[in-house]
Amino acid sequence: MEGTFGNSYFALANKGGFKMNSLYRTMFFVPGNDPHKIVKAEVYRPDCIVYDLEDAVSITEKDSARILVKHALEEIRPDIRVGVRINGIDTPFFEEDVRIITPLCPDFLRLPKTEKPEEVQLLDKLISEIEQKNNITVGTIKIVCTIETALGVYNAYKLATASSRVLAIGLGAEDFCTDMKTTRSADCEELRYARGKIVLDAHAAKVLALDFVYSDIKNTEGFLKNVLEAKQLGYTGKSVVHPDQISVVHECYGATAKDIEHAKAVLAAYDEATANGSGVIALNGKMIDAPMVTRAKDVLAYAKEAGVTYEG
Amino acid sequence: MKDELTFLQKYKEFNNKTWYEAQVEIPKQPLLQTRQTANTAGKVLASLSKAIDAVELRNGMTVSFHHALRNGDLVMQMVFAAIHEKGIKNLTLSASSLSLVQDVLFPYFEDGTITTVDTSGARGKLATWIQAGKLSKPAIFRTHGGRARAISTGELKIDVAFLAAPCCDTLGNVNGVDGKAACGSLGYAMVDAAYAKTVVAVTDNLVNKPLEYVSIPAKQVDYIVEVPSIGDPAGIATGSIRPSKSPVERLIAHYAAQVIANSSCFKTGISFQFGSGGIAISTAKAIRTEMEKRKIIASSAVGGMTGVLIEMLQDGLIDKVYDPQTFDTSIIHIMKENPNYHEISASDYANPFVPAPAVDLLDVAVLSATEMDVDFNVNVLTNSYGKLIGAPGGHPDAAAGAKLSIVTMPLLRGRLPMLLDRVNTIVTPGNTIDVLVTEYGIAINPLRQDLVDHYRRLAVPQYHVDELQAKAYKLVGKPQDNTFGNIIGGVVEYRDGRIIDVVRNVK
Amino acid sequence: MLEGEKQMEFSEKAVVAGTDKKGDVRLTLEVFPNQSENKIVIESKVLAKYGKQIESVINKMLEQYKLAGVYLHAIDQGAFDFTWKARLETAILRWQTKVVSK
Repeated sequence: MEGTFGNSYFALANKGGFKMNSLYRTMFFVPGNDPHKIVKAEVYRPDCIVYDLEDAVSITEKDSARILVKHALEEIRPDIRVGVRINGIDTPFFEEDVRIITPLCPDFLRLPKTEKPEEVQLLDKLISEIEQKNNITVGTIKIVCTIETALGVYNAYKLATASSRVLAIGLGAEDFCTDMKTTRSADCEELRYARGKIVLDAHAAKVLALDFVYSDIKNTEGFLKNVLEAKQLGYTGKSVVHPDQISVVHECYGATAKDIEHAKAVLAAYDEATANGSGVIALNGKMIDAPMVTRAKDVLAYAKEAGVTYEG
Repeated sequence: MKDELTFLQKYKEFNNKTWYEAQVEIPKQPLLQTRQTANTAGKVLASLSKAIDAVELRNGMTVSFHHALRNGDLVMQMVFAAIHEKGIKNLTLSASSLSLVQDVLFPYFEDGTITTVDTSGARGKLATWIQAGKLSKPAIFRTHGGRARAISTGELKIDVAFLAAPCCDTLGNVNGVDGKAACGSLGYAMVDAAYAKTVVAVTDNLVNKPLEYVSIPAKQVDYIVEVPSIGDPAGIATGSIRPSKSPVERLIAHYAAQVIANSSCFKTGISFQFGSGGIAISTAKAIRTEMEKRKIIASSAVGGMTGVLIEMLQDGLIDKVYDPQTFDTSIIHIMKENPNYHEISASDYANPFVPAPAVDLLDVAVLSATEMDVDFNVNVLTNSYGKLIGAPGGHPDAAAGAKLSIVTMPLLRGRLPMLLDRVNTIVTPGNTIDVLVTEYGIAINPLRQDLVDHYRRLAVPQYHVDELQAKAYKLVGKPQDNTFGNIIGGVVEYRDGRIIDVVRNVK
Repeated sequence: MLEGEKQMEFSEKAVVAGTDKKGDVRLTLEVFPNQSENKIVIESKVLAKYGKQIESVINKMLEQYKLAGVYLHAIDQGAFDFTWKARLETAILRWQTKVVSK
């Protein structure tokens, strides 16, 4: 994407688009042991930064990364949503990660390889204890579950509803393939069912759905296709690992000026018809039904959250 | 110290006030007549040694060179080797700039062959020597336009101009587009040739047939010396002609492109300058895309030329190009082929005393910085430690001429913050800089309330310049100040001749 | 505080924290309980700008952990304060773990 970082921005006028939002269209993974990357992450304005203590950090540096992320949260926390991917429940690092990081009140902890609802409940309980000890309102810190096994996919809805802290569930493609005893391919056929089930279960549980990491950074066409697919399936956001990916996702999920204009027109017609007490609501000869009105409200709420200003 | 400075009648003691508050505009002075009557008999001489005899070079004279061959130049060292052999001393070296390769001249500084310097920039060993105050008087650092002004008004008198000539015919016509050491525009050399007392063309490509493409006419060339090689093509080519790879630089370029594309001057007829360097090139490419989308055709591109702009010329996106220095050797042939690709002198480019210098055409200029301060003053001459490493170049000229001057600069370079209370050296005054673009967002000069209003809804993070500085200091901490000594190594001249700052020795 | 000196007498007990990557600082630390003086050597390109700040951070950290007789060698690649504190804390905790486990 040489030279352009999002053409839709030329069409939209906004300053607030760079305030912190809760859209979670992008979760930008940053290696937890890399000070330079930690510092730089915020300039790319992802909706959310995830400091990674898990796969991005070697076993001998787990302590190092944990302490670095702790100090980063303490001293240079950006005005962007921030989460931490802790190590898995069955690792020797899990408890210390939770113990050290939770008091800093990140927006969420991301749990890898989540398989059973008891795991989520265990994490929930640990967080509650630490919140209480640190004068943080219990329930503030959320949980994001990464699902990376067949059992996890099977249990997706149960994981999403295991605790009121669950903010989102997402697919971890690489480890999932390993568990399924298959391999990754370009057309992602091996992920088709899991990808569909996770987004379905997420919406059924009313949590956010995060699509898997696309690691072929150089393949910009492939990435765009991948993001559009995810959006079409109903995914609310994507885990990203490179700055270039952020603007692509935001552009795909962005409301254009045209979308906003149309949404305003729909609501205006709806409001007018309601005020006049007329039975049928129409815009440009087409009937406006309840789902259309809901969609229009969603577009405007979404745009507002993203900081796009519009009159009215 | 006072003795060192008496010759600089316009010098004012620089204190910590914003410079432009105290100043009065200097009225335009008339320019001298350009040379018309060079020597005609026996122009071609057998050696540099004979040329030095012919021009009657004496101790204390001023010799000049252009820097269009950049780090590939071999002429300066050859000429000084010949001068040195004759034991001539106390010369003033007047160069349009001094590239790092000119460290090879260092022995001539040490032994007193060269005791005064008049240049745009200095690097390496020469810079260290100059900054330590080892010349007989402070060096003068001029802008490209300022040097042209000084030469064309007679303030800077050149006794002998040694002109590196990629192609020269036996009559004395010179161009920079032919030959193995082709460098493109001879914009700097044109000024020297027009006003120096004597001009010696040094060429490795002497041709019998009169040149079809002439940059400098024979009537301005007195002598010609042929040498095996005037320059190394690898050093003539600059590296900084490709778009940035780094995501941070590309982000800065994206924000800069946003500012330009959403400005009121972004319409057909726009005139711009982009310069070299990854960020400038990336910005130009983004602007190209936007121009194609909105069917905008630029009236001109001005300044040092690069491939990205010449491609736009060839593709009909820009009407005319005005080039005082060609950064990209791959486009040199187009200067010959395309009549809309104009080679212009540094004087026509940026001389503030010329009726209509090209920089005055500019709607937009995209510039870089080594540092900036909260009054929008820009430094391009010294680094964060106050060490001499660069040159004003055309920076202050373009900033003064352009309706919208944009500085692109990372807010942080490693741990070092680039937005300070006061820059080490003011080169371009803040009242000519309109927008600062960093990776964290932009800051608009409060002096431009019209721009603040215009960009209120721009889709780029915006800060007051103090907020941007505070953000940087929160991350890295406030840096300790540099300590300078009392020796003035050089004075920094603004384009119209006023002294804007000095360069003191670092402790 | 000494600058640029490379001769420090560490034993094989010394611990290391941090890396040589941009923005990081690599520390080698050893505590000699019989000594009261600290010996701290910092190699950094930004010493002229942040030397005092770095000193202050180090001293505060050593005070916080009540350490004396500390030999510390730091090779800095422009680390910010938060990184200095994190790497110091990591080195000290690794040292304490090592000492305890003996």
